[in-house]
Amino acid sequence: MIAKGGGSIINISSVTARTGTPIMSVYGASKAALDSLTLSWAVEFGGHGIRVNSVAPGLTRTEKVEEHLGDAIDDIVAPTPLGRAGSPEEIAEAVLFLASPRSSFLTGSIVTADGGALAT
Amino acid sequence: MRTLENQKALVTGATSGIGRAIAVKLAEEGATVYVTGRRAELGKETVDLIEKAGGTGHFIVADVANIDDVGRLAEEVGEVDVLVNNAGIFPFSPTPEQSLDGYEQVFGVNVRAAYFLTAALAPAMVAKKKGAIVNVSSVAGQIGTPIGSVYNASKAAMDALTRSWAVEFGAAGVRVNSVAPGPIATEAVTGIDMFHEISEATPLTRAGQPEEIAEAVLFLASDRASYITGAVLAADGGFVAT
Repeated sequence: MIAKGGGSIINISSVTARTGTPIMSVYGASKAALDSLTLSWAVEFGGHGIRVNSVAPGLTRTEKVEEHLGDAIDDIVAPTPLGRAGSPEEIAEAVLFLASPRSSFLTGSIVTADGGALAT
Repeated sequence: MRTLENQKALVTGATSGIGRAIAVKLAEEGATVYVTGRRAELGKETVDLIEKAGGTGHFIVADVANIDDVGRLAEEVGEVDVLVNNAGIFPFSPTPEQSLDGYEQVFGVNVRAAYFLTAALAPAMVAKKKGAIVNVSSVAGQIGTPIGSVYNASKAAMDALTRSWAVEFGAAGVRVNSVAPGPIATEAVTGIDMFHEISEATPLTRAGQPEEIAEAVLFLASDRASYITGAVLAADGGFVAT
């Protein structure tokens, strides 16, 4: 990307980077580390025209999540502002925005797509 | 299909700068845009730009520092699908020299106007079970600076309102988010030396353009951001990352 003079890096993080959970401490810590890399890489590569951002999804209804959590999903998301889990496509829209020139002034940012979970 | 086809939007502070760019961008995507501000000549110019871009715009003169104007504006616009609380002022002062009038003016425009406009327009969005509110705050709301204490506090207040409104209106499917711009090259700031110093010190080594903020506002206003609410989206060239 440096050789080409530009590019966009999107790190898929998680809201667990910024909020504590009972049994996901290692996962959350790894995502916090990823967000830190987003910040440092934005600083390190900004002069080369490379943008680096995170997308932090909330609970997203993927096959694996449905396998592991099943009906518990509804209980977890009921108290969030939108009251539901996200779909993979909704996360993809945020990634698309960051990959495209529409987000040309965004770097070092964390786009939180979580149905408002962190706002509570 | 344009992302805001057949929708109605209100953008405050749209007679110039970031607000004007937002109004034009939303209109390009199919919205009928209500433009407001104090300066009628400039408001007319914004509507002309909207029409040149193939869109529909209307200008309503209002000084949102005046709470009666806020009420009148809400009544005249009626129901909207998208509300962009962009109007803002940014006088700076060391704290011991801050005047009371100046303090009240900053909170009056930057916070109170957005608050009572939202109070007036959100109920119709809730009734329709659909709507998007975008608050144009600032990365200044997340940091401390030597002479920006009142401005920074007003922008932090705006982000706090984003979070509370997301919780308050979320069950009705109304999304509320902030865009927090970094240094943006508008007429209001290009004469200020400190502005250029700050811009060059960002990871992208430049100020942003109003259109770049407009893109972020458009994204959050559209259904592409359907799972995003209560969020503060920094569009700042990496300013707060350092």
